[in-house]
Amino acid sequence: MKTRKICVLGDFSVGKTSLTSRFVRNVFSERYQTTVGVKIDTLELDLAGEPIKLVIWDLAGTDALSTVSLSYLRGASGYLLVADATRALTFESAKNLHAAAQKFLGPVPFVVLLNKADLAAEREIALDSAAKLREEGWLAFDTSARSGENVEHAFLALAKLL
Amino acid sequence: MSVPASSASADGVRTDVAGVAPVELDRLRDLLLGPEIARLDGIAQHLARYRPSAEEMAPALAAALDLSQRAQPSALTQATWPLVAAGLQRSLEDSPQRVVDILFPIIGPLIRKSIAESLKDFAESLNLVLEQSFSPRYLRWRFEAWRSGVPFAEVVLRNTLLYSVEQVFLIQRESGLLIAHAARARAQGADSDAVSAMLNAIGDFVRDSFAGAQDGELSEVQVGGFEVQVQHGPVAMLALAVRGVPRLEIKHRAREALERLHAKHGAELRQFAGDGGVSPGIQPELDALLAQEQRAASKKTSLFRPGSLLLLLLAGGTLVSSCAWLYQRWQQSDFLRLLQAQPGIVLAARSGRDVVVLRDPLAAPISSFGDQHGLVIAERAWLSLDPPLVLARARRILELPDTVNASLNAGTLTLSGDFNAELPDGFVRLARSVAGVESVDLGDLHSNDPAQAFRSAKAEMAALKIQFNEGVEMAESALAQIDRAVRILSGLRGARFEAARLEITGHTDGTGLESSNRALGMDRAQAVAAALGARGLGPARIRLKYSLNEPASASDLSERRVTLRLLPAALVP
Repeated sequence: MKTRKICVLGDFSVGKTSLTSRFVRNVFSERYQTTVGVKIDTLELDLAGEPIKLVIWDLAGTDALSTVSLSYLRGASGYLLVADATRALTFESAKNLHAAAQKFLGPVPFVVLLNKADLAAEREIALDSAAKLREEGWLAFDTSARSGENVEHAFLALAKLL
Repeated sequence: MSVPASSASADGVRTDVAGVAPVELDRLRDLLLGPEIARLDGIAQHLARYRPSAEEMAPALAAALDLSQRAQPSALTQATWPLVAAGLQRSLEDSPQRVVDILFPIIGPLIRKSIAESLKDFAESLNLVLEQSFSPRYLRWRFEAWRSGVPFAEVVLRNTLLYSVEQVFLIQRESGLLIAHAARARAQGADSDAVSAMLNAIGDFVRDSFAGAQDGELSEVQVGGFEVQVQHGPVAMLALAVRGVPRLEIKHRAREALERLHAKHGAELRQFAGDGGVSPGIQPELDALLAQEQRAASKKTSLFRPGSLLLLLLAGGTLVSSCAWLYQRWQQSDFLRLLQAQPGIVLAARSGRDVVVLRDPLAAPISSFGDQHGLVIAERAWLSLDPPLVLARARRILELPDTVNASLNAGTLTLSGDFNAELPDGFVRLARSVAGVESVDLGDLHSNDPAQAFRSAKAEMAALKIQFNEGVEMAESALAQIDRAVRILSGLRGARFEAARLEITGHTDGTGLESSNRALGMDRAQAVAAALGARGLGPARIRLKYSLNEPASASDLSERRVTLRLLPAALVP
């Protein structure tokens, strides 16, 4: 079985850890706990008969990659860019992180997740943003760690590209 | 329609296409292709003789090596290795200084790192010994060293190095991906891929947060009874999860294994992308680290092996015997302490079970008690001056009846009561010969022999001295002496002796006239007679006398006295 390292990047409190927990353990907690450094989870998937094991590095939230964060990024086969749909600035941070990651890792696959889609009333990022990103060739999903919406799709989409 | 290139005519002349003879065709070919054929032949000969020059190869060589390295890295390494080795050897032989100059920037840090590692190992060893020095196990190991004769340091070393390598991780440094993993059958833990990734992350965090980018690596992580030892190589690191206190040599083994892995599988480790499956030679290296440590770990269960059980039984037996021995020793000491408190018994010497005791013949017997307490008692006779034994000895020698009471005070034996027989001659002398008796008081001893009693009373009466001061004034002690005289008289038995009379003789010092002294002496005798009369002694039993024949000294005041003499009734005129 092949093993691939992927990283989850995004600004503070965008829901990276919640997305990972929802995907790996199918649980969601309302309690917010900031991530110090990095959390690591693994999950084995079966992609149409091809097994793969994802080693998911859930990096602490940041709007720019520090030296430590770059160290964590080394050897990653792909990454998920997470932004908070209720905070437009987090999408800008995600784009900055994407640029830094591409520079560090080279052209590796990635997926954009516009999280907290369940908070429609508080949304700052336009509803059609994901669709527009997809039109530009990016893989983008409106996700909700609370409801589980599109979480698995996003992770699986990245896994298929690895 | 096809035409054959050549054919044979009916007359036997060979013709070619269109009836042209071969000779003509050869000529035609030479005319048309001759120059090209000649050039081709020249090229072929040139190629056959061609030896490329260095100038021609130089531009292409670098590009060729680069292509080869990309296409078949291991093949190029294998092909060039003999050249590199030979070149290095030649360089060392021809110009060692040049090699020294090249290695100079590297060799210093290498040496420092090696020394630092050695010092760290030494410090760990020292810490281990110090930590164990005051633990409960320390005493057990002391006992083990004493029992087995093995040096204590070796026992400490042997006992403290019990450990078990539970898991071994070979991790790619770049990505943290797990290349290979080995674990003991009973080992439990988190997902090995997650563990390897986390170890990698921790290493990155520690290095980037607390150390420079180039120096320092995470080498140990300790959690409870677990220790994770990490060895770092250029492209991979080896992490050993160890339960217990690992041997120091485990680091060296791991380091050697990692070096071998890099030497044999360096390219594979570098190019590992998590696609699963590694060379067959990698897994045995990891398993070997487990297997070697399993033997050491098995020593932990040695407590329940037959030899240990036998040792445990022996230790238990020894403990019980020791307790019994200690209990007997305690009983013996208690017995000897009580024995020594007995009158007439002295503990002279003791050696193990043998005890020498000084025992007065009249003291309590003790030999039988010694057997009861596991002691062999040897008695030596001696005379004790303990008062109870002195009295017992006096009773035995003087054959005192039970009606006689005896007491001892400051060496004076006082006898009282009824003797019921005549006191033998020399009774008082015999009493004084008893060990521990210095004087004898028979004042209250009554003998049943009237004559003997009279003799005793007479002697005692003669010893009384009634002192006077000036004139007829009695000294303070005089009345007590008079009372004693009355008691002596009242103690007489028998008709003859009960009527005995008392001769009272007055004495004076030498001063004054004899006539005056005579009168004074008689006055003193009369004063004593009056005192005796007041105590019931009739004048008929009294005879007054003045001592004329005794010399008087003017300076001897003790002569101012009255003496008494008991006279049998028959002797009184």
